[in-house]
Amino acid sequence: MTLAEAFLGLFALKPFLILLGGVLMGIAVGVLPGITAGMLLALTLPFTYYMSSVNAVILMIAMFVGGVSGGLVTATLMRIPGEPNAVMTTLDGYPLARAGYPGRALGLGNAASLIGGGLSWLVLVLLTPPLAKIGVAFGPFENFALVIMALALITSLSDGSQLKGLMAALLGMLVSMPGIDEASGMTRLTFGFNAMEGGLNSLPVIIGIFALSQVLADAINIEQGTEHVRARMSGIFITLRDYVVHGWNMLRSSVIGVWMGILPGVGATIASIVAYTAAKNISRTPEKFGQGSEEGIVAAESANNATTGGTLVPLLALGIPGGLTDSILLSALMIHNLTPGPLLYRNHPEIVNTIMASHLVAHVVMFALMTVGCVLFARMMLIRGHFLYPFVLVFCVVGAFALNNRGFDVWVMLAFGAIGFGLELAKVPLAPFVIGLVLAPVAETELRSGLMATGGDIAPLFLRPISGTFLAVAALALIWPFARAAWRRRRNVSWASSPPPSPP
Amino acid sequence: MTNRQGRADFGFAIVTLGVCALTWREASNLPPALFDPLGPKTFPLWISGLLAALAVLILLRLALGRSIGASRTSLITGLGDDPSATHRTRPGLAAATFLLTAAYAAALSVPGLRFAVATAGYVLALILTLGPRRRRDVMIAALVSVAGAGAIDLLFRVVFAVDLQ
Repeated sequence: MTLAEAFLGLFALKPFLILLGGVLMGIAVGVLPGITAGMLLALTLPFTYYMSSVNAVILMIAMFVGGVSGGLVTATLMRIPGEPNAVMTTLDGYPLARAGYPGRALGLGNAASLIGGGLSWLVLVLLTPPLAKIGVAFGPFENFALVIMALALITSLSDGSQLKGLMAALLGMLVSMPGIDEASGMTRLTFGFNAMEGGLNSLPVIIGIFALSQVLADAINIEQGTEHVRARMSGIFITLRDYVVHGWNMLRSSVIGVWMGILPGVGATIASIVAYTAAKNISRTPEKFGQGSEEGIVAAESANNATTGGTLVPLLALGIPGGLTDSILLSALMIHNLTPGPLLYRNHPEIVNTIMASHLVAHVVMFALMTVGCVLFARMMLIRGHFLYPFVLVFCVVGAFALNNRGFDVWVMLAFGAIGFGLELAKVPLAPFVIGLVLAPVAETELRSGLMATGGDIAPLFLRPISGTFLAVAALALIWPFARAAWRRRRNVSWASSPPPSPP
Repeated sequence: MTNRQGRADFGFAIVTLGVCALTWREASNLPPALFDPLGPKTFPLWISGLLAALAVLILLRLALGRSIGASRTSLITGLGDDPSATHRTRPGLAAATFLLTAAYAAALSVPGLRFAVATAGYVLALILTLGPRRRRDVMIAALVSVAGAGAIDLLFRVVFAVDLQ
């Protein structure tokens, strides 16, 4: 199936309805504060098992795009980022809405989201095939080194504490290990429990971490009151002139977003912060930022939507998730016995092309729905949490159970909901944990395959040019933040100990 | 670094060390590899060893009064904010929500208890735990829970064909 055929296939009734439903659900969870796109994807994941692979990826991509975009509504009308990545939109979206231009703020954000998404689609389509061709040449050692490099980059880029990021990734890897060891057929790390012989399925773990722990956090803050601005349609249709005026900002912010999306572990939130800061630094009116600046809204929204295409590039070309939502997409593909990476391109082009086509069409559908239905979506954000959370939790329980019809998985989900909540309270980043969980089996399988091929000789892992380079980058990524911190400390000490300048 | 953060870091390191010790012991008891150079035990041993070393590093840094740092980006929205200025936080509600959900999961494995009935009871209990409990609210909660549970039961059984018994 070619890309053109994938586009045509999307306009058949069933796939289109799935895409429409996915975008709608994505926008809805983006609009509802406390319910995130990651949560929606995690909860939907078990039910995609009952769908065809093509329809499953259409649904997941549509929800992904809708979720990233929907945060704009609450950010603008309530000053609450419906999604974490909409945090920068609140800074200017809400003041502009309060000043009497809610439609204008939504319209600009919506248009910027479309442009960001569209440009990232272009990069996705142009960059993925050549990268996948390179990926085909990789052997087990290269694949192992690639996973290690991705994990190292993710932990080194986890802001705040690299040490905790690294530990979170290793904990995630450890969680993936109980159960039957595929290479030897032996069970391991069952701790004497028969139920553990089937292992800790990644899906209940992900549902617990993404959904249950989020609802627990929401329950703590259930008394949070909100002010909101009423949505109005006037000003929502922006003109061609607006595209021209904000064109350069949209382009720059989109490029930042795509690049941040490709880098493992950076994600949409940081992309929107970087794009917003860049726009403010370059702007002729930086003093307006934070007070309803149109440039601020455009920068943040272009960048966060542009990450959607960027994150899919390493996932499709190399099988490495660029972010959290990608790790759920990776799990979705694995449920359907599809292994993302260069071979997916060769063996299942229909899946890769459907993902690409869905990404663009979902952005267009999102734009249309957000333009026409913003008043309706704005009403959804007033649904009270105490009516919503019980149903989310029912989906958590049934979702954890449904994949294998195993009651044990429900308890795993509950346990990891509590663990995720505890880790978050201890300010341990959860993103490396989830990505470690998803990538560990790949790393182990590849290393063991490589060693079997070389009769136990580990030297090629370091001596082969590509795997050696990946490992060098990984080492650099791990060492660099510590080295930089040590250098800064030394510089501060030497400055503090230098004698004060003599008076003239 | 606040005292609270220091205690959290200490707790994290200690729990991690415990997990590593358990994993190490369990992995050490595995038989050696038969077909491949690494076998099933090597990876768990490597990971738990490295993890334990990092946990010890955290404890050492804490002992020396050095900061560990804290993640600034959050996967769970709302926990990282300082809500004290705007509203009262209710940690008890999170605990109640968790316990009710565990009870619901346990109830689902009780033979003879229908999924729709257990779900309606759970949803009603949780709505009333999290929300207001005036007479009118209870009536609305009862309606929502019965209608919602019926719809979910239908969705899972008919659309997804999940065997919920």
